[in-house]
Amino acid sequence: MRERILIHGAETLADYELLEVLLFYAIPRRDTNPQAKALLTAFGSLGRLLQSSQAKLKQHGLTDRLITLLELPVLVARSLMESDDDIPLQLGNASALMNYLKGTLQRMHEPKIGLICLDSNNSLITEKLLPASSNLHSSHRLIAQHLLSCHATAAIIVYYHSQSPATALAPEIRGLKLALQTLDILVHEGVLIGDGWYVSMSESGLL
Amino acid sequence: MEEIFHRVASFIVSSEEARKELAKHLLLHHESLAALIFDQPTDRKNIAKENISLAVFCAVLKELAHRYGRALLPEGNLLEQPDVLKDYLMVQMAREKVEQFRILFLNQKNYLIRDEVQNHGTTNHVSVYPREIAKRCLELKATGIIIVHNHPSGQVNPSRSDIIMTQNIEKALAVIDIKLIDHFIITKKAQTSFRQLGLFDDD
Repeated sequence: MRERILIHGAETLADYELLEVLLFYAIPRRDTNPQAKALLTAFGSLGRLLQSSQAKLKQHGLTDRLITLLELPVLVARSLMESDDDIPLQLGNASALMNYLKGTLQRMHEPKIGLICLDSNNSLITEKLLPASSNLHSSHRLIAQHLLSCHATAAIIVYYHSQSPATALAPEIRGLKLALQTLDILVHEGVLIGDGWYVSMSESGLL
Repeated sequence: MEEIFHRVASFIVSSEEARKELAKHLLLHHESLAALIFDQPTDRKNIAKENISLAVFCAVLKELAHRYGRALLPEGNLLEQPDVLKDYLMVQMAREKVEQFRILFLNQKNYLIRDEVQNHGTTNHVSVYPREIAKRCLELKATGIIIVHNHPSGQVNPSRSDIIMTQNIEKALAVIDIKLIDHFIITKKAQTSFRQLGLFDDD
């Protein structure tokens, strides 16, 4: 059933099947099917089972371990209900971007290429690192894969401790920009950064 | 937070040492339980062997959370408990990374007949056809609907195309005497109601 979940999604499982898989995490060596069905019968429905208090579950003879396990879906639901008060990192303007990159530069001790993945608000989703030797022209597929898998709609390329000048690297960015346009992904900018220096390709008129 | 991740870890690995290790790792990479669930790889067919157990666990927990949320929806008049409804919609949609469009079909007493997710779209856009919605309303004998979609970008306000789409749906439904009760936009931070914003033609 794990395969079904991985390939088709947990939504395709019936209530008792979901419960069966869940119980297996607490009782790994037994066939959990009969217990799953028994629980659903005893409590009437999956909803009522998950809403039951610890006391009620104990009354039905469930072990502490199982009770701890059965509390998890509710904890997940509550976590999902919580509004997110964190303001995601906004990299839409030049100074915010520069500040962010000054921070990440601290962790780079050798040349590297950073692929900054942004959403439609220019909020940072994630930054993926590519080896410095990558020629962007031959990495389009890899870059597109990264961006699509994290649902990014915009990107910025960063060359940390670059050995080449911006003028040499700009054509790579232009090529990438054209290619990603077809996937509705906007390449905002190419940036070079090192200790004490910073070059923005868009500001330098290279893009 | 540590307790929760330790609890999750306790079901994935068996030795106390391994559990502490895994809990630490989870805490480092995920900011909340919800984040852990949604950070799991979406390309489920290519997960590394050692990560399968956790990925399946998260998938199961997510689906159980959704069904639990569904069970919490009041049996009667859905409009009498707007907070419960909003909580439910948050559980189902707030953290999805792709735009999702959902329709709640209601009867005359505003009881929920069906809750259907329409096509999943690409990251920022879902195609919605008033004709198809009208047809489904008639099939389910709904007298009113609530439409809901999420903005993964966190943008709480409707876009121009959101507004136009809503007006088109409203007009189409008016032809068959079905009411578009409201349109909600769900983000991680908030739920926006079109009716509260005064965006319906009859407001």
